[in-house]
This record gives sequence, C-alpha cells and structure tokens, in this order.
Amino acid sequence: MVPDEVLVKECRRGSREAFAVLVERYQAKIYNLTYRLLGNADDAEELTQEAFCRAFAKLGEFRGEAAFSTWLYRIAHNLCLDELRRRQRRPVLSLSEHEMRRYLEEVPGENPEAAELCVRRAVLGRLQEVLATLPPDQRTVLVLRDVQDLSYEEIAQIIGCSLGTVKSRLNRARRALRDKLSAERELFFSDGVYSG
Amino acid sequence: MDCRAVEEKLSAYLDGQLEAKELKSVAIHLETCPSCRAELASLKETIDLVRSLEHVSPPPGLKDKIMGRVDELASVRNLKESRESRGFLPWLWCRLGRRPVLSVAAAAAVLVLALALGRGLLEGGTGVLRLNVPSAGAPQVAIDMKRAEKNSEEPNATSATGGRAPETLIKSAELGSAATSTARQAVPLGRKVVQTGRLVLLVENLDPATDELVRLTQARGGFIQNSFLKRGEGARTASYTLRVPVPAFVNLVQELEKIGEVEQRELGGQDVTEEYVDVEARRRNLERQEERFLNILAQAKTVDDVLKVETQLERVRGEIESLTARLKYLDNQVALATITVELKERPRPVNTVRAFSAANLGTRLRQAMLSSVNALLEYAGQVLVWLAAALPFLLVALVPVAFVWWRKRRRRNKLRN
Ligand SMILES: [Zn+2]
Repeated sequence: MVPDEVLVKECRRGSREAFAVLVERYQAKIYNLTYRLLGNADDAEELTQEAFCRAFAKLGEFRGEAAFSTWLYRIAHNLCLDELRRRQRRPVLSLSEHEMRRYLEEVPGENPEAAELCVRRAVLGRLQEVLATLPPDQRTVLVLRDVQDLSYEEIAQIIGCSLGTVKSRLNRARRALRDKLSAERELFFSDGVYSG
Repeated sequence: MDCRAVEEKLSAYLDGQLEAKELKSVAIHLETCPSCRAELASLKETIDLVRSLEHVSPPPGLKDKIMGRVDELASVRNLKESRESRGFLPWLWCRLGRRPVLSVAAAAAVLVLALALGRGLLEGGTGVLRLNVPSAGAPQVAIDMKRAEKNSEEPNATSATGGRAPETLIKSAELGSAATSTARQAVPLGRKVVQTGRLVLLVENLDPATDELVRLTQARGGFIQNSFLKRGEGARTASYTLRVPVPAFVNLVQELEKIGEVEQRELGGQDVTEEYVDVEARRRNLERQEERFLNILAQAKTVDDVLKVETQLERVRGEIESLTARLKYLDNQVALATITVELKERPRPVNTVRAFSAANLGTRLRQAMLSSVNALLEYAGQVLVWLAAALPFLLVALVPVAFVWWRKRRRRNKLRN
C-alpha cells in the first residue's frame, strides 16, 4: 500500500489519481464519522463530499505535522460542528421514546432470529438518537474514541485540544450517555437484546 | 483517593490511559469500594454498547461524486493559477489586454505625456509643460512637402498623401464614371468594406462652396463629422470629413466634384470582413465560456469557489464587452462611408498658360524630397530624445502599478502557505 504522504505529494504535483486513492481509502471512515455525528445519511453524504473538497482545495496548506488522516478528520469534524451549530438554531425532531416502543411491539414474532435482528437494529437506532442528544463536543470525542477507535493523541489533534481535555471530556461524555441510557435501561440492557 | 476522584478517572482507566501511579491507587480503591465498582461496570456496559454500533457503509457512487466536484475545483484553480503566478510584465500585458480600447488610449496618453514631459524638461526649462508639443513637428513635414509641390507646379505629384485603404485603392487621374463604377463593383456581396473617399477641390470662393457641400451632404442623408479651416498666404483652405450612407456614397462624390475643379480624387475601400468574422468568432467563443462558468457557478458550494468563478466571469464579460464595442465600431464604419473633402481657394486667377518647365526638375524634386526626409528624421530623433528625457518619470509612474502586482502576488503566496 502506498503511504498517505506519498499520495499527498503526488496530489500536490497535480495527480488526480492520487487523490482518488485517498478518497477510496478514507471515504468510509469520514462517512461513518459524519453519520454518527449528524445522525442522518443525507447530511453525512453531503458533509463527506464537502470535507474531501476542502481537503483538496487546502492540500497546499497541509504541512504534514500530523498524519493526513488526522488532518482530514479534523476538516470533517469542523464541518460537522458548523452543521450542528446551525441545527441548534432549528432543532431536528427525532422519534420519541413512545414511538420507539410501539415500533418494537409491532415486530413480527414468527422467526425469532429475524425478530432479534430487527429489535437489535431498532435498539441501535435509538442509541444513535440518544447519542444525538449529547452536546456536540462530548458527542465528538465519544464517536472518535468508541466508534472510530482512534487514540487519545489523534483525537487531541483532530479537535485541537490537549490530552487532558480529551480525557476529561470523554469521561463526561461517557457518564452523560450512561445516565441517559439508564433511563431506558430495560430497552438497552435487558437480556437477549444486547449481546456483548 | 476518594470516590469522587476515582470516578473522574474510570473512563481513562478503561482505556488504559492512566499513569502507573494513578493506575495503582485507582485499582486499590476499586478493590475496597463496591459503589465505584458498580460505576465502572455501568460505564463499561455503555462503552461496549456504543462500540457495537455497526459500521455504516457509504452510499454507492460517493467517490464519483467527490471526484466530480474535485475536478471542477481543479479546473477553476488551474485557470486562476495560470493567470496569477506570472511575472510583472506578463501580468501587466494581460491586464491591459483585457480592455484593449482603454489600453490603447492609455498608451497613447502616456506617450503624449511622455513627449510633452520630455520636451518640457529639455526646452521649456523650469518644468513648464507644453502639451501641444507632439504635433508641432508634423506640420513642418507637410509644409515642406507643400513647398515642394509649389515649386514643381505639379499638383498631382503629391497624390500619395492620403495613402490608406490598402486593398482596393483606386487612384484616378482621369475623371469620369469609369473609376466610380470600379469602386462600386469593388464591393462583393456579403463582404464588409469600409468605403473611403478623398477629394481635393479648387474653388473660386470658399463660402458658397462650403454651403453647397453641406447642402449636398445633407440631401444624401449624410452629415459632417469634422471640419477644419485654415487661412494661409491669402488663400483659405477648408477640410471636411463627411459621413454618408454607403448606397449614396458614389452619387455624393460625383455631386461634390461639381463644386469645384477636381485637383485630386481617391476612392478606396478597406475590406474588414476578415477582422469582422474573427472578432465575431472570438465573441461567440467567449460567450460559450461564459455559459460554462455560469454552470460551474450554479454548482459551486463554497464562497471561495463562487468568488473564483466570478473572477473568471468578470474577465470573460469584460472581453465580450470590448469585442462587442469593436463590432459596433466596424458596423458603423461599414454602414457609413467616409469622405474627406479639401476645398482650396484659388490663390489668384491665372490668365496665361505657362509652358511646362522641365528646367532643374530633377534637382528640385530631389531637394524637395531630401528636405522632407530630413525634416522627418530630425523629428524622429527629437521624439527619441524627448522619450529618453521622460523615461525616468515613466518608471516612477510604473511604481504604483508594480505595487499592485506585488501585493496580489504576496496575498496569493500567503493563501498558499
Ligand atoms: Zn469509591
């Protein structure tokens, strides 16, 4: 596999193909990040596109102090925060817990495996919604750490803060989520629904 | 370490991010504190749940969409960079090229100023600038030639003066409809030809001749664009530039000839079809470019892109504008013929017919020509001297322009870095 830095150098020399390889390599990661931060597929796709376009336009500013992937995450992260800030002014309505439960009760019972899969999907859908109620800065560290599986150092570089801030913010985020989930404890942690 | 301090560290503890000392004290506390153990378990549960969120796959075609937008960005950037990263002189050249009419005017103004300045410095002494300077030398040449003409008493010897209209110039010493009909036939259908005519007429009295000239022109739907009266050596000369619709051109020329004795007549046409077609093609091309940029603009997502595309649009529109102006000018030139009429009052009645004198003709011709050439050379040399004198000032005048260029360049470099 050609290292990122080599591809970046090629891009700067004007190679379109090199950038295409980088897109191929990171589109899924960036899409997942934006999807988890924004909570819907359309916005995630739009912001993923925008993130790569910005990266392409600003490639000349990329100095290589951090890895290309970190820099790219950083761009996507900033775009998501902007979008979330815009949304705070006009909040998006999500499924209420009540609707969620009705949906769960309607699950067909004939095929137990299919039913379980269905329930699991519904639970994870609800989890995404609860996630979306966390403040953006907490949601970000949580997604970067527990969904994207990045190191504390990478997260610090992406969101532009110290390691200590990452630690404390992640701690706050996890506990806040735990508190929100325990309000619906039997949905998330009852046997058979959630399997390790 | 109390429960509160431990709770703060549990998240990092689960990620293995604690230093050895902290790790030890947290571990010791957990062994002895059931409530902190419960806290740890619930946190672990939460993290595991989040980690079980499945990986979502991006929608199909995402990469193509991204690369499509990247290609647009690249094309806009290439265009911009090819304009921006130039040296001073190419930059200046391009800037001027964008407004050709204005540039030519500016260049002419600079030249005139330079000459005036140069001459003012050299001859006017203490910085008194005389702006009428550049024309001062030229009439001298003309006067010299006129004197030569007089000496030789051969009016037709100087018939090369009007010398424009290179392609279908018809000079005629013999009068009559033969020449005019040639001029008429010289305009093939569908060609764009700028018709020009020049008449030198000898008249007994200038005033009624002028009245007649005005009347005839207006009767043919034409107008007088320019007039010029000169009084010298007792006899007066007047010069008129007439514009008349092309269909009436030949008729008007024939009518005008009746005002006086025709001393000189030139009818000509300059075929501008090629230039016209070329300018039209360039304009069409630019209009297509404009359309393309408008398309890109409609798709531009960021303010930065929009600005980039708009710079391009502005340039293209400027060029279209100047080409349109050129076409308009050509249309006007083609639609209206231009006739220059010089009315000369006869100096004194000639009563006797003198024989043609060939005595010293060769010498007189040579002298006449040499004096003209000398006058021309002297004037040219003087112009060079004036330019040289003005050169330092011109360089100083270039400083602000160079400053603009330098700032643009620096801003670009800054953006890059
Ligand atoms: Zn405790």
